[in-house]
Amino acid sequence: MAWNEPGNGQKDPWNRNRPGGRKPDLDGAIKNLKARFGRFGAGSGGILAIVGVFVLAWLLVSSYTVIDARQVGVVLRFGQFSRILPPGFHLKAPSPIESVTKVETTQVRSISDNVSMLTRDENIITIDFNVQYQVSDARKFLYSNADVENGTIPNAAEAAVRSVVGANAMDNILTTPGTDTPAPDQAPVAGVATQAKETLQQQTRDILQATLDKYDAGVTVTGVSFQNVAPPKEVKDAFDDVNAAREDKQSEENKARAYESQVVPVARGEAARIAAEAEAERVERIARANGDVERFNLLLKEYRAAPDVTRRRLWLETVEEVMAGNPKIIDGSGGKNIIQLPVEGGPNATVRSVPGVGTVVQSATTEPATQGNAQ
Amino acid sequence: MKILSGLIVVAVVLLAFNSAFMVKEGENALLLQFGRIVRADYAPGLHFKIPVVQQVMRFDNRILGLDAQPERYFTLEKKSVNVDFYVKWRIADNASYYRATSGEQTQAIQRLTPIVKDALRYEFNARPLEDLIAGGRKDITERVRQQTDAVARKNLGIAVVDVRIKRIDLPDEVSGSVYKRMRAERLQLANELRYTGQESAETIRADADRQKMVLLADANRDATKVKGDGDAQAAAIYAQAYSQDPEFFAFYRSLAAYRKAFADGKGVLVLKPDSEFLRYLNDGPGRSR
Repeated sequence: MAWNEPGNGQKDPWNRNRPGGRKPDLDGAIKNLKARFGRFGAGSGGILAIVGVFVLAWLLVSSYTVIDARQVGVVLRFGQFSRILPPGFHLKAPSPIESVTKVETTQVRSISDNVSMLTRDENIITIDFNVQYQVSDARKFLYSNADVENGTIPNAAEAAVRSVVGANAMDNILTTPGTDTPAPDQAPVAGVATQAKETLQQQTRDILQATLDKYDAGVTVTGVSFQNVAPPKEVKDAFDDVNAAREDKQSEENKARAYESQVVPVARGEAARIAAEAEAERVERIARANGDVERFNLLLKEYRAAPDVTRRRLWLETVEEVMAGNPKIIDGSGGKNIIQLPVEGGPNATVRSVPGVGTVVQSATTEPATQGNAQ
Repeated sequence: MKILSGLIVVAVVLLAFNSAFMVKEGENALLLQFGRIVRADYAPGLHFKIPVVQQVMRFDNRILGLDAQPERYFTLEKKSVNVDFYVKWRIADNASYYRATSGEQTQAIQRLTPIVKDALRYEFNARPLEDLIAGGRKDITERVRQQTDAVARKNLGIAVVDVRIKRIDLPDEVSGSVYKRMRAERLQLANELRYTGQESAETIRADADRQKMVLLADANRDATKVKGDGDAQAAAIYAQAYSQDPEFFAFYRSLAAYRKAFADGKGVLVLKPDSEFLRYLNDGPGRSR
């Protein structure tokens, strides 16, 4: 059939498939008849034949319908709702007794809008929202509301969005909650807290569905989404500055934490070093004491065996070592001589008397020392 | 003759067609006889009438919309707002609707709009803005619906299905001050964030310094204790050994001290000839005792 190929319901020359589209009506048919009648002139037999052929063709063409897989057909008999046809080929009473209107039911339809609205705390925000819906009841969809797609649904959607926005304070809608939340990542979508957004979308969807059910619109709202919830552009820079401030705060704290994570471990290392050194010192002291004692004990054994000899030996060894390493002066004058010490004395040499020996002359130092401190 | 009979046939057919009419789904109809209403309510389907004499007037039986221009109202606190609303209505009574509007939708809307606007005005004037924006809206519109429904049914044969507010906007001159306020609030928040950031950073730093000091102080304290322990143990070891012969220890320790004192080679020793060390030097070859 050239007029009615399956998969395309738009080719039926009489039934245009728009809801509310023109249908072939009785008046048109009569005009047609009259025109033919006039053109063919006299002869009632001829006229009857022509009319018969015409009616037959009409019956052939208008006694069946093909419903596409994505559609259902709503059948009216004498204008009254009769039945819903599923997809496929169906016979029907010829027009104008029965007429079929086809409605797309699988297709997801959507509307979008951008609005600016007052929140409960009398701030203004802008929202891009999108509503998706499907026809769930073709009969209601066609015959309950005038202008359902361009009037009813957009209006109801806007009213639903507005009532949800109006019931919430701005900070519930935008992400500007307390300081305890992490800074929002710089997504292009204005910061809407996912949780809050989900809730708002759900509320909007519920309100919208309830509204449309009240109007018997025959549609199911499959989704409401807020693509972009933002402060109005007039104050956008101030809001951006808050985000920047949040970033600043974060980076200040991060810097401080970096300082902390550097200072504390270093101090911990220092503390460990101090502890280790102390321990080493302790061990070393004890070891040395043990060594000294060991040596002393050996010497003591010797001494106990021959006290006098050992004493003298030790004494002599000591004096020998002391005498060998230092300049010596033997003075038997009983303190009457001036002893010139072999030092590089400057012009300002002091003269001191050492009891029991002669007067000692040496170069000046910052402080008069009793021990010879000559350079 | 043939032509006459043909004409008669055509006339009969035309009259037959004219005596039936169809009311479609979503429509309703009114039957008029010379302007007088005969019957005002037809369900969808095929109906019959007297041809020529009676006329059918069809009405849209679906829910119809009224989307008016935004209206400016004053709230209880004398704030001015622009209110954009829509109304859903349907023809409730064909006869009185026809009488009131002669079946013209545009006329119906013209009559209905002021009724709704007045009811809304009354509600808006009696309430503060916040209530109007927020939760109160539902019952406000429901009350408006009830009032307008009562009036419209009586006067126009119209049922008001729903009244909903699409937008409440502040006029431009007021929006300016709202923006100013929003800006100030954000500025305050930004400042607060920055200052609390600095504050907590300071706190973190101070805490880090404190931790450092505590760590080092604790370490030093423990180190002193450990060293002291070493000293004590060493002292005990020495004491235990030296107390075997204190006199010899004094002698031995003094010698060690002399060695150490003169180790730098900078002391000048002035000796008397009769010192113990020079005993044999002075004596010449001593005799053995």
